[in-house]
Amino acid sequence: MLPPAPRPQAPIKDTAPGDLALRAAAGDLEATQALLGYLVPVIRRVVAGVIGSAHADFDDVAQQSLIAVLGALPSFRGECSPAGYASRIAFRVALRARKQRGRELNRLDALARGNTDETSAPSPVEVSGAQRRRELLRELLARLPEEQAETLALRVVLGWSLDEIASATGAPTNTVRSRMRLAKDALRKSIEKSPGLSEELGVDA
Amino acid sequence: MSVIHPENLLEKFAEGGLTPNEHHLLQEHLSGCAACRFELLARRPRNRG
Repeated sequence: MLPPAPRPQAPIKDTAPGDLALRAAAGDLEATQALLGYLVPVIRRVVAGVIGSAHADFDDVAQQSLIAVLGALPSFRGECSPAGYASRIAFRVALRARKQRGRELNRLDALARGNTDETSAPSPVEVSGAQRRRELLRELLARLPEEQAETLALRVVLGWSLDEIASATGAPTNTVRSRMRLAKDALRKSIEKSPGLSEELGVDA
Repeated sequence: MSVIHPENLLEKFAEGGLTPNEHHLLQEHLSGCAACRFELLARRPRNRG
């Protein structure tokens, strides 16, 4: 007996991202290419949120994230959105890069301090409120436990709801809420230590 | 001390769906919570897929 004829598939341009990801996970090259076109802006946005789009390693980290997403595609089961799946992977790659780069910069800072008393840090007036907020967020993401950092990043960088984060991370919504609360406690402490930001946000230090 | 943040109200605010009463509750919380004020300032439009 002949095997059943394969079901005709919708044209790529009419295929929803979730179905594209499932087809890509099954090795469909055309679906993979279309999916990447959809995911690249998402991945770049996550990486920019964690390390900053002006970071010297931004393109490299975005590329590494994309490769990591491609490597993980065969494991995609459609249990969350492809953007959520890719965002989590990109977030982890970017966070590792940020932590690694931070350690390198700390070593360079220590060396520089041994040679000169001058500081090259911009003065508070040179840095706008939005820049300060972005930088504080990135510093905080690098310091927080990974689950809290991931929750805060998905919430603030991508604007997701708690339910969406719960669905993407596989954690109960109450756990996500609890991670968010802990992240905000740390955020408040960081704001209080940042003179420009505490002023902007009306915090009594 | 850890406080309870009105995450659902923050979400509704971002979507423009707060009732006047909810708006008042959120304003009251924001007046004492720098972390939630930060979130509102830093939060980007949602990007789902």
